[in-house]
Amino acid sequence: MDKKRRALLQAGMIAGGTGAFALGYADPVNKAVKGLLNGTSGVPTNDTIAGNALQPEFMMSPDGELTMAEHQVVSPVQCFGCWTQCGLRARVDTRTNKILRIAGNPYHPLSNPRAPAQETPVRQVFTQLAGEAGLEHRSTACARGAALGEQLQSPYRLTRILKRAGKRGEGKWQSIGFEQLLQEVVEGGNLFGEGHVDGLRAIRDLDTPVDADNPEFGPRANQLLVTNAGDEGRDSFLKRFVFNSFGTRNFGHHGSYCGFGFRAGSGALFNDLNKFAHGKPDWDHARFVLCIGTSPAQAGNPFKRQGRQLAQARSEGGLDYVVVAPTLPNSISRQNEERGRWVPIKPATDDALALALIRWLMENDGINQPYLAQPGPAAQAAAGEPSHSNATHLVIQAPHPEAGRLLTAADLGIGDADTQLVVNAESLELMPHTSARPAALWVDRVVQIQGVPVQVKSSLQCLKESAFGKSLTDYSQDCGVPVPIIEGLGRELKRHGRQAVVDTHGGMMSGNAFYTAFAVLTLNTLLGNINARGGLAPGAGGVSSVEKGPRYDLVNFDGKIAPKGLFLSRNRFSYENSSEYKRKLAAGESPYPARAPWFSFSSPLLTEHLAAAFAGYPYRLKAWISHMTNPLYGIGGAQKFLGEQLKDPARLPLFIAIDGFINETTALADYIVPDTLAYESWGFTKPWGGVPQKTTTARWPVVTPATPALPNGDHLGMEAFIINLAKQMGLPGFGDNAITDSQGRRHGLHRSSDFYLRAAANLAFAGQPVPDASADDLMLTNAARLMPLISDTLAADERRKAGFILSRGGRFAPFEQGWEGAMMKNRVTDTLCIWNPTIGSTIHSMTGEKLPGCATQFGPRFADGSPMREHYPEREWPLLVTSYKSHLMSSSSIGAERLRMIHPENPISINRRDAEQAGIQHGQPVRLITPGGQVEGIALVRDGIVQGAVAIEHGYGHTELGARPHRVDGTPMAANPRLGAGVNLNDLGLMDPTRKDVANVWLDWTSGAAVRQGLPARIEAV
Amino acid sequence: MPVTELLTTHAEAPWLPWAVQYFLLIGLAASAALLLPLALNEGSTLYPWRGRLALILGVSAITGPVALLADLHQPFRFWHFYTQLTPSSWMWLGALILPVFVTLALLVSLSLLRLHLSPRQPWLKGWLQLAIWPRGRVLRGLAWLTALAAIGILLYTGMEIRVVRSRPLWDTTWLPVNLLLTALLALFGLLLLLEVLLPRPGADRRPAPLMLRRAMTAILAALTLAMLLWALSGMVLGSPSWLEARRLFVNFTFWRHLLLLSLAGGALLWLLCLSRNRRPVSAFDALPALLALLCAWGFRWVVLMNVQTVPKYGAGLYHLSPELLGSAGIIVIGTFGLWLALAGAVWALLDHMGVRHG
Repeated sequence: MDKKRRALLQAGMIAGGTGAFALGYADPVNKAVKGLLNGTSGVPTNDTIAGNALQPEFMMSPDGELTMAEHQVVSPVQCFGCWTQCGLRARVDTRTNKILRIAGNPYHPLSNPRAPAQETPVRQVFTQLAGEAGLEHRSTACARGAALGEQLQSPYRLTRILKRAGKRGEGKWQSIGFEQLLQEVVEGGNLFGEGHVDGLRAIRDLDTPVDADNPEFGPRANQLLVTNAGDEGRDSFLKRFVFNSFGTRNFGHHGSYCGFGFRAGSGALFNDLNKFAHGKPDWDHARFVLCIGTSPAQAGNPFKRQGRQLAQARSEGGLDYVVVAPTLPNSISRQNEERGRWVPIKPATDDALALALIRWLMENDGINQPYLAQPGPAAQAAAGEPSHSNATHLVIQAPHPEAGRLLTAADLGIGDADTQLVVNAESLELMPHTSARPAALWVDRVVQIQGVPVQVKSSLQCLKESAFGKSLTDYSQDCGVPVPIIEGLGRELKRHGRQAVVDTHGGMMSGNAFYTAFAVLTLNTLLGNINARGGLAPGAGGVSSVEKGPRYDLVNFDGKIAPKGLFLSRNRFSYENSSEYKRKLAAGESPYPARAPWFSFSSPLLTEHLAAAFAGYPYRLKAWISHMTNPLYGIGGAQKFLGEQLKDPARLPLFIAIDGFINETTALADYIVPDTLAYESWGFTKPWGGVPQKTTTARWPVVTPATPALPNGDHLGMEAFIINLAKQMGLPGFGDNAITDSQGRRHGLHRSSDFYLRAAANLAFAGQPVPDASADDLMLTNAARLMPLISDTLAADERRKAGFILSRGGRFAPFEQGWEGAMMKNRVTDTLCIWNPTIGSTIHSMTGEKLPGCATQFGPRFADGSPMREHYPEREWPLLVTSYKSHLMSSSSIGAERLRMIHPENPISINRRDAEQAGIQHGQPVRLITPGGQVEGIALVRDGIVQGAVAIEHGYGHTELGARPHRVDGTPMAANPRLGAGVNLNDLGLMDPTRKDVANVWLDWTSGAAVRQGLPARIEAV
Repeated sequence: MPVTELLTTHAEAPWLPWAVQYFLLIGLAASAALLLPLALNEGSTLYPWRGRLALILGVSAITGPVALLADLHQPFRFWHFYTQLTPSSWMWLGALILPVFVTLALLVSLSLLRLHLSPRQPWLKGWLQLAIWPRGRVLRGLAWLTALAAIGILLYTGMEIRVVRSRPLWDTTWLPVNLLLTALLALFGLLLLLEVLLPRPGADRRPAPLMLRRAMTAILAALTLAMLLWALSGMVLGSPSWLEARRLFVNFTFWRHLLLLSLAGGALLWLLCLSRNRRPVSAFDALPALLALLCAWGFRWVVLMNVQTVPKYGAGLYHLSPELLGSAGIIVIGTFGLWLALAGAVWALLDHMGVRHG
């Protein structure tokens, strides 16, 4: 090499090498400089080994004396990581107003199944958490609960009032003041430069009908829809405004796209189509639990408590269990292989399995005949049964025009219409169901009603005919569960009798949700386990109502309004009572099908509200106030169909959101009012089910809210917005003299604490009043921080008792009060339905046919009753998509970095053989396509999913909550594309191809619940 | 039975390959430091490579710690090591050893470099001829001290990985041994590569380079033996490292392929070393030389990077996020770039103001 070339090479090495190094080292240098500038590289850690780990909240001296860490308190809070809403405890740094860590509230049964008596002093309960005893007394938070404290300081959080500055959904906002917000939403005007928008004052017209041709629709005030994600403790406050102060009929929540299919079926069984009562297994005493479409320790409600109970029962007790689900859930552990088994099933075919089991039990003497034979409360008592059903009641058969309802004493002129007739098991004569003796189970006979012969069958006979419609082999083919497994499950149910329970939940959300849930739950009635110790236990509910209690009446006020008219989602109202029906009849037309389904036995459905409003059937909306709801993310197909329409202000002129974050739905709002988060707000909740002791959770602001403070000391949030909105509009029920106490004295409702502290007093004084809290209780939990407010608000004798409620985080019945001998202590007393006469008398508004009142296999269908596969055949759509709940991520928790670190995304689960057929390898990007949409994700090839199914875990695939940058006053808000990781099953949701007139996404054809199980699909490698 | 990781199919790599670069470079420096005192003896077979050993020692002793600094997520926190005594930690001991080693290494290599320079600038010339520069017995003594510090480096780097019991794959005494042997392999690979690229002027192309090949073969033999002993002792004693390795090989195709690839690489290296045993050095020797370097680097990549696909608590493997490759590439190229730039600078220096000592 000559000198020149060498020099060139050397220069190249030096220049190139240095350049490459500079490129590679830029990041460390950047970090180093940042560390120098913000000082974190110059601060020694607190401890050489423990670094900057937190100081423990409690220190125990050798003689067992507990000391709190400096500037730390441990306050009870309520979790909002999922709808179980556990009572938790938060370590709060009082100097920085921050939550440091979250664990379980030791008093709370949802976090500690063997909670100590609530009278135990706080110091003693905290002391029990330490040392060896800590394991026995431990009270836990799940991963979500432990992580969500970070939401308080989340960079994606909203703390200013936003008004949209561009088109809806454009992500451009301006921050405005509270007065401007109130002025604009109340008075309306040309708010966005797009023309006039009616304000809430103009919308609140309680006199003019919304539609003169259809007076049953009610007044124009119904054109306000208010939705709350659910009752997270503040429902009663919001409803006070919505129904009784503003006077609209329309209030919605997320239930219809959560687990309404299950609740509807359960309501039919419990004969409660109003609150849709449900039960959960008594895990502490059950010997065999069959979970169909629910997976304890993976999902379900109560999520954490049930997971712990399951773990304990299978390791220490005598519990065997089977989980039937398309995907292998966390419920099944190889540590307990002999105890728990997974039975794979094709998505959306649980009705086939349930009816197969009903058939097997009937054929093999597996049903509890002595139990089913008791026709009423008297017979139940005489026989010592835990409950009774209408198995023996007689159902009027077609062609009688009132077919489907029960035969009553009034029909035969021998009594009233509330008395059903049954056949005496001995004499075979008709007798009232109130008789204290058993009745015949299998009845098929003719009776004379006003001289006309009418065929009647017992409920159980009807169920039998429904179940015997197919053979076990046919059912097995439908659901993919082999006949020997079905028989084995039947044998286990029979063997354990009342100590066997069949549980279900979100897996029911298919295209035949209601009937599937009804069929699955009917198994419990056949076993006679409802109310039995170790059986299906109805939830004990709250300790008392907090709204109408012994100290204050928080429900009634001067000028209270009773809402009127038809619910926007055409529910709780028979199509046959509508003017449309009558007009069609009068015109000699066939009244069926209606323009769109009427859900006569359902609760208000957020799945239908928006589609109904956009189509103006029954009527249009003028305003929507959404508190934390996110239907566009939660309902299959909603983003595409409803989201696009919501972007058009002409369809819904005013959209106000109240939320701590911008979610997929509120991103389209006109205004967003920042809300307090769970740890900053008040609320009272009760467990949904699964807790046999009466429990009311009380939550209170354990930190000062990050939202703006108002002049009266309250912080901006849902309550402050509603109170000031109502005051601005001059509505009844808010402001001065809005609350009356038991002495008849009036009190103002100006701050949220005016309402909730009085609710706490009601709770404290319900029944036997609670004792006073000690000063120590108040100091350790920092409830003391509220004492000035309490002194301002409550009477002297109420203060320490309210303090007791706040220091415990609620009020809890003693553990022992869960059971009474061989029965649960809290029992349902209504007649359980094998045949639900309300359902059985319902005519489906699209098919014009009467619905059966008992469990029936229909399979997935569309609104006109046509099977799904008629529209989307298997050869084109060979797979069925199923959704399962995440045990780590909820639908709104993606912003929590600690959770994303554990579980950053959700892959698309596919069976190994299906993957091989499609040429897909584990970890490979794939495209999943349904008739409604497509998503791209990572293939998770596994054996833990049934062949023919594709499973998606819920909680990922966000487009908002921080995944997309919004601009406020021209400045971008924090955003991180990683929040958008994974896929959302609801992007695959289908439109209902049979709803031509009033279009909407695919809903359960009878109940209106969202469909997310069993979506037809195909998959391909990307 | 194959195990599928359900919770986290794709994970971000918690750490980037800074450590891989550090371990390779500090391994080169330490093994060069081990050989340098021997090479300073005129009778030693290593004598002709004393200059190159010094070059490798000096350049690697700078680039290695630069990479290590970046491995700290907050580089300027390195001084926390010196304000908080943690004698129980190998890493902390290393933080004490490393500056000693680097200082000695630079002193020795600069002292040797000085002997080859005769700059025209009088001030530089005067400075280079100051009496404080160690020479002769002092220099040799310092070289021995550097070798001692190098043992400390090899010990602490090996031990700080070996003590992590939560990563059973690492938890074996054979790990430090393999790190040492692969470092030596890389060193001789590098010497051979330099021999091919920049033949020493006037050097005999026959006998001396053969020594490099023979040394490489001997190290390869030791390495093979060490691997066999790791497997054998693992089987007999049921060591966690062996059991984990077997679990990975049996259950995961990815690791099976990795094993086969490593075995194939080793076999190829054997073949290349043996087949050209007696031939003079030629361009062809660049192949075994590069392969030896790649083996040493690859071993560190597997130990420090691929291990991240094995979850500490889960059951299956993670796929590392594809973005890893991009940032990893920049890091690898960047650190080698620094090495090349420094070596280029020394080379240029020698060209411009060097004196030829043969």
